[in-house]
This record gives sequence, C-alpha cells and structure tokens, in this order.
Amino acid sequence: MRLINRLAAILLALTLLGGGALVIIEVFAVALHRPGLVVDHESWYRALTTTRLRDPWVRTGIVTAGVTGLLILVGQTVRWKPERLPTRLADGWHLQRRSVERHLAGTADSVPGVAFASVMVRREGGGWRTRVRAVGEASLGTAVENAVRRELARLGADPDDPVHVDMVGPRPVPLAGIRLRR
Amino acid sequence: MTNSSLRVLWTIVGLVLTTIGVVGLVASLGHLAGVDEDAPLIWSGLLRLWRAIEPWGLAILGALGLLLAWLGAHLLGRQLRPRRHPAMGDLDLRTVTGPAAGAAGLPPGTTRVRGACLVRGLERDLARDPQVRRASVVLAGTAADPELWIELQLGSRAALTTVRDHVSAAVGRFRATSGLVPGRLEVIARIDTSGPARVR
Repeated sequence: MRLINRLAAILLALTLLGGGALVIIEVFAVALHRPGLVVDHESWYRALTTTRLRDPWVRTGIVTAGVTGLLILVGQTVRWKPERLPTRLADGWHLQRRSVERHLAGTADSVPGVAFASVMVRREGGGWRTRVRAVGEASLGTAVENAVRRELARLGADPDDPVHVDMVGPRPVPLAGIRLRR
Repeated sequence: MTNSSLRVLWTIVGLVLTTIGVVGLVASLGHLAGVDEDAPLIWSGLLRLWRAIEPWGLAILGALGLLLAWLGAHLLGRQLRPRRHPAMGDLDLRTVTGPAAGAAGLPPGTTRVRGACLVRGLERDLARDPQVRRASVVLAGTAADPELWIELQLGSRAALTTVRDHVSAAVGRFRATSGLVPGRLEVIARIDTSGPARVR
C-alpha cells in the first residue's frame, strides 16, 4: 500500500501539472482568438451545454468517482502491514518485519521433518503476534513452536507474545516417471 | 514525503471523491433541492455569470490553471526528494563545542567538519563487528539537536544483545569524536537470511 500510495501520488502530481499547464495554454488560445491546441472549444461547448445532469453517462461518471473515492478511503483506513517491529533490546530499536518473517520461516523449515514453512508477524499492542504455517506431520507442531520461540527470544520479542503454529499435512507426491508394473 | 503524510493526502482525496459521488448522484436523481437534474452541465446561470464578468472569467481560469500546475510541481518535487531526513551539512566546530569555547576567546577563523565524513566514520566503526554485514547512517537535525538514523544488515546468527552493545559503544565514540549528542537514535536492523541453501 505504501508503494501504491507513492506511485499514485506521483501520477496525481503529473496529472495536476499537465492539467494546469493545459488550462493555461487553452486560456491563452481563447484570449488570442486562436483555435485550441488540444481542446476543440466549439464541440466541448456544445457537449457541455447539451449534456444533462441526469444523462446516463454523467451518472456513470459520478458513480465511478464515488466508488473510486470509497475504495481509496477503505485502502487508507484498513490496518497496513507494519514495515518494522519494535524490539525490547533498547529504545528506538526496530527489526525489519519482512526479514524477521523470512528468518523465522527458515528456522521453522530447519526442523527435521518440515518440508516448507511460511511465517507472518504482526504488531499487537506493544508486542508481536506470530503465525507459522508449516508443511509436515501434526506431531511436529511443538518442535516448530519451540524453535520459533527460541529465535523470537533471541530477536528481543516478549516471551509471552502469542505464537500460532498450523501444521499442514504433506501432499502425496506423484511419482513422476515411475510406472508401476503389474 | 512520509508514508503517513501520503496516507493523509489520499484520505482527503478519497473523501472528496466520495462526496462528489454521493452529492452528484443525489443531484442527478433530482433529490437535491435547488439543483435541476434536467439542466445541462454548463447551466444558464453559470453562462450568464461568465458573460457578466468578461474578461475576468478567463483570468480566473488562468489563475486556477497556475494553481493546479504549482500544486502538481510541488507534490512532484516532494515525491522525488531523495531523503526523508535531510542530512546535516558541514559542522562549524564552534557551534558544536558551545558558548563556553567562545567565551574562552577563540583565535580568528573557523574549523569545519564535513557531516558526510562523520557519517562514513560511524558506518565503518559499526561495520567492524563481523556480525554487522553493512551499516548505513543518516545524521539529521541540527548541531544543537542532532538525530542518528542507523540501518544495519545483520547475519542470521547475529546475537542481537552483542550487536546492541557494539552499536552503543560506536555511538559513544561518535559522540566523543564529534561533540554531537544525538537527541534521537533510531536503529533498524535487517536480518540477512541469504546463506547456504538447505539441502533436502
């Protein structure tokens, strides 16, 4: 969302700059009794003085603007993924969230019997909420949780912070290239 | 521009567009008092006003165009500015050592220290610990109230408490060398997970 906001702001800035420049150019064209450079003044005048507020095209435009506005509002008001996580090591110390998630996923992945793991860490109050999803037998859940908790303690997270581990059973692997003979 | 200021900007844009949508739809359906849904987009009242104030209408429109273009250029400039925290420039040592040094009667002339040199020195000092793979520092604020923003790239086996002590020691040395006492110290550490791949 941060990147989208930044790119959209550049786009908005360029649109404002271009639109403003166009208005100035057209104003000069009208003042000097010249035909417009981009805008055909006659046809725009005709269109704007004959199109009514209740015309379906106008209504579609208005509804599109409203829906776009609502979508933008929702995008800005929902909780964003934090970029960094506060750590208890010292005041002003933070860890980059994505690197913590990758590191913890590697930790969970290194538990024998775990085939793949992904980790999501979010800020909750002053602490962290960790959710681990790992592929492996359900009995490995405790081992994965212990390994992740050990790393979290090393990274300066509160030991009481919640850690959820979801173990997903391994999918049967198709034996490609092997044909069973009867 | 910071992320939060962009968030405020887009919340305002969203609110404006939503208001246009709601009010426009109500007017278009003929439920808004004083607005005729059968009237054209440029209604007769607006045309009368335009003709009555001629040629000032054009001047107002031109001023509006100028305002829009200025807003666009300003926003673009703020987006393309490279740093969130403007780096501190060169330091005049008299401002660092404070009024006591001035009272002692300094000889004429000034001594300036490049802010970039101090920053590079701190970066090198931070990177001396093998657990720190890379360090980048921004020295912001003023000489009276400096701020230090440190970004560290750490190895995956780095012991964070040791790194913290190393950073405090390095900042202490920076303080002793430059005479600057950082009012704010922010450290963002990234754990580098790139390493030998696990063999399955």
